[in-house]
Amino acid sequence: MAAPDAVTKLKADPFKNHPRSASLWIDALKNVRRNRSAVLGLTIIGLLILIALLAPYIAPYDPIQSMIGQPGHTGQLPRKPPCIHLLGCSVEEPEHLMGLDLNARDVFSRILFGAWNSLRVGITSVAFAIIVGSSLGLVAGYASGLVDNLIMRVMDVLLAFPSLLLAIAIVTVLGPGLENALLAIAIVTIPAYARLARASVLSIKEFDYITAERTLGAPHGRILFGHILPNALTPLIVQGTLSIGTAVLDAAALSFLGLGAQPPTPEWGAMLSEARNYVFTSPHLVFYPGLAIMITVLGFNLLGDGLRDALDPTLNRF
Amino acid sequence: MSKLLRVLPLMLLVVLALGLAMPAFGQGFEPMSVSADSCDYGGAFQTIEAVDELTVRFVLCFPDPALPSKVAFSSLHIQPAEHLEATGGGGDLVRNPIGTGPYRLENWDLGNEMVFSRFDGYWGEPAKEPTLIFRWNSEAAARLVELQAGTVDGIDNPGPGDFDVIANDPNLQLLEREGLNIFYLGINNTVEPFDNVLVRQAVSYGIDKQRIVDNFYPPGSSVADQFMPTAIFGYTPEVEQFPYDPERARELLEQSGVALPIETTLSYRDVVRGYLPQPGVVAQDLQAQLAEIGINVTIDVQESGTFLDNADGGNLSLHLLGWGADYPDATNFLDYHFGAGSSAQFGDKFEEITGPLSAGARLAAPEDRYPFYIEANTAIRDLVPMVPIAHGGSGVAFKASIAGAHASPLSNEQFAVMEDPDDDNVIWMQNAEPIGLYCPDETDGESLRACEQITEGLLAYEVAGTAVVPALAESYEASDDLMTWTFHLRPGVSFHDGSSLDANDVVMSFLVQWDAASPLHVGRDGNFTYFQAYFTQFLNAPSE
Repeated sequence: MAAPDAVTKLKADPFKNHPRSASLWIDALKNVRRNRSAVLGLTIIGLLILIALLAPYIAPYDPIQSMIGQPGHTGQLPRKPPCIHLLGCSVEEPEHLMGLDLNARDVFSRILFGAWNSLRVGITSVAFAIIVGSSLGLVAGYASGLVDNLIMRVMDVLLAFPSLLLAIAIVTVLGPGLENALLAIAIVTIPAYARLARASVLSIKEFDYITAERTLGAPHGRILFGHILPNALTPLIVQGTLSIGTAVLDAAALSFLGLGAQPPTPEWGAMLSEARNYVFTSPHLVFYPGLAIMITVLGFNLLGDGLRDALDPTLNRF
Repeated sequence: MSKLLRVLPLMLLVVLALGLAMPAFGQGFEPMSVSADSCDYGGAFQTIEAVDELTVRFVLCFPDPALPSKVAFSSLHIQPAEHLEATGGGGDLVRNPIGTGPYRLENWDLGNEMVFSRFDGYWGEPAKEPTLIFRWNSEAAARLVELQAGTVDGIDNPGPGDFDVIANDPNLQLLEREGLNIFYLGINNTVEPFDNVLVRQAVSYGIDKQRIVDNFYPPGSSVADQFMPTAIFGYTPEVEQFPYDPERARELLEQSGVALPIETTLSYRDVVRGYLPQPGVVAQDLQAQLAEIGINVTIDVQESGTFLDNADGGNLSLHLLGWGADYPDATNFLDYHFGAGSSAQFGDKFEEITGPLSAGARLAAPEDRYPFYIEANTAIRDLVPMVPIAHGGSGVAFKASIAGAHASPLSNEQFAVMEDPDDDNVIWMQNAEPIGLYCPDETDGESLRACEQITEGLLAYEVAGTAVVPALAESYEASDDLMTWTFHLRPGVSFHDGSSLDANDVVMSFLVQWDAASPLHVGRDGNFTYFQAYFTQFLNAPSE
């Protein structure tokens, strides 16, 4: 009966009694969960996404409806300060948690709807930039030579412009609007990803397993997207998360300049811009959109920092 | 003998010098005179001539009772003929005006400030303070902060919400400016679907003016039921406005057969004026109101100069603009906008409007003119080239210590009468930088106010009022048919460059505007909008 025993032993997991080293991603997830700032960031972003999706159901008013002539609304309505029943505002008055804006629209509803616009711009533009930028970087790094030179010099030229200035120039050509602002922000963020991806490819393509793959005659596409890309993904994800915050800020800046969201679209940057003359007389008009932008950017930055720590193997704290 | 030899060259020198100088003394005044071959060209002037050194005569093609009011306006101010020639009628002229006024331009630091210094050779009462400084900021709140901080002595157009703040501040004085203005929504009848009169009428029915005035205008403003402000001749209470009736608006749109919703653009310039204190907010409110009746507008903000050029060129579909009185008469409002010589702002002109307007402008007696204005105002209401919305009350604010501070109903405050006991200058902060200082070719009030410190016309408006008073002309008389006007110039008036005023300077200042074929008919952009609006047509106008 000795032989079957030996077979069983051989089939048994030799690492059964060792802690199993799970895949990189599961490790990363564990690290993220352990990282307080990442968890906080993730919570903020989760809440924001929820707000953005549910805005039509939770907003008390239509964000573009002026309260002038609406039932229960009387007196001087534009720039009316917040009225919160819990804090002693007369119950006869309609409740407006964050007051009314210059056109007598409910600021709270506009902030909620604005979340959708800001997140949409942030996430879409960065996703677009990652896809285009990293593809360019991958091709450049893998192909090297003339193609590499050509792609990277174009990226250098793009990088030479101050990013907001370039975005303004692009929007000026395309015409103002949230979609065009989104595109402009994506275009100015492309070079960062191209460089990042190229740098990763340059080091990864020298590894033995890539050489082995090549020797086996694998097609370039499979090597590039099947083997190099997955290993180059980590820095792209970290950079991506961090730059969503920047993209949200850029979108707000473009809207502030009148080049982004067009009236009456609720957008935080545009709300700030409209109310900038009333900082002292009606601070609620500037405070809440400013706060919303701050919280969003903070959320993405915390998550980005946390991800960087979590995904960096040299920082493993076992 | 030797003495004689020494004196002789000296005497010769004296004789020579006298000989050289004599022709200049002897050279008499050569009066200029320019005439149109006939009055067929369509304009108001037949002859402009210098009768002698101090007399100018205008012979008109049709009677114009408003001529004195017109020549007092800054677009007809007088500059030296030599200066107009030397600058070629444009170029330097736009940055460097030479006038006869109490202040002369010292320095224009573009984008920053404009400094004026007292002109010591002024014929009238000299300016109280040696220096006058113009600054600008488009933000009402920022202007008020500067005034409160004491960095400026006076500001134009405080924000609607700040009137109480200023009135309650013992260090400041608030001066309200009468709403001799009109804010309107212009409609271009050459752009589809606004070529359909039913659509234009629907817009007129669909705008709740009361709501706009109540919520976005300062105290002292009123709803406009006509283009004419109520206090100015030409306002006709008999003509009832279209009421606010969104139901009727929707019906009209349906009748018009135009596909709904209508998609169009609403343009405006983001500058504060007395007639429009909160442009962006009002634009958004109108956007919301028009959406209610089925007109979706995209808001389009343009730079001020570009916007005015686009509006005058008829390149906009819906636009927000306004007008402040230059002189208190119907011709200043109605003829400028709807008369035969008006711009393409509202698209094609209507015979129903231009007809009564030109008839009314040629009569002198108000009771004879009045029926024509009833007719014109009725046609304007029915054909809707624009929707009048509000007469904006506005104001100016000064430090309480400034003596002589005033608000002019024509927005041409005269700073020469103001005195600052604290220092040697008066610093004024207005809404925007002047565009140019050759005011025959400017229409923007911010530019005109700067010109009005430097240059003067034959007549002037009284300080803080609208009455016409003598200026460069001491007196004038008109023939009984109001066709021939003679102005007698004030002797001994000198320009800022030291030359003295004569009748030829007056003729030349008019001629460069009147004669489109003149090589000096250049200006900043060459439109001379006011001249054409006042006098219908240029001489030698290029055929279209």
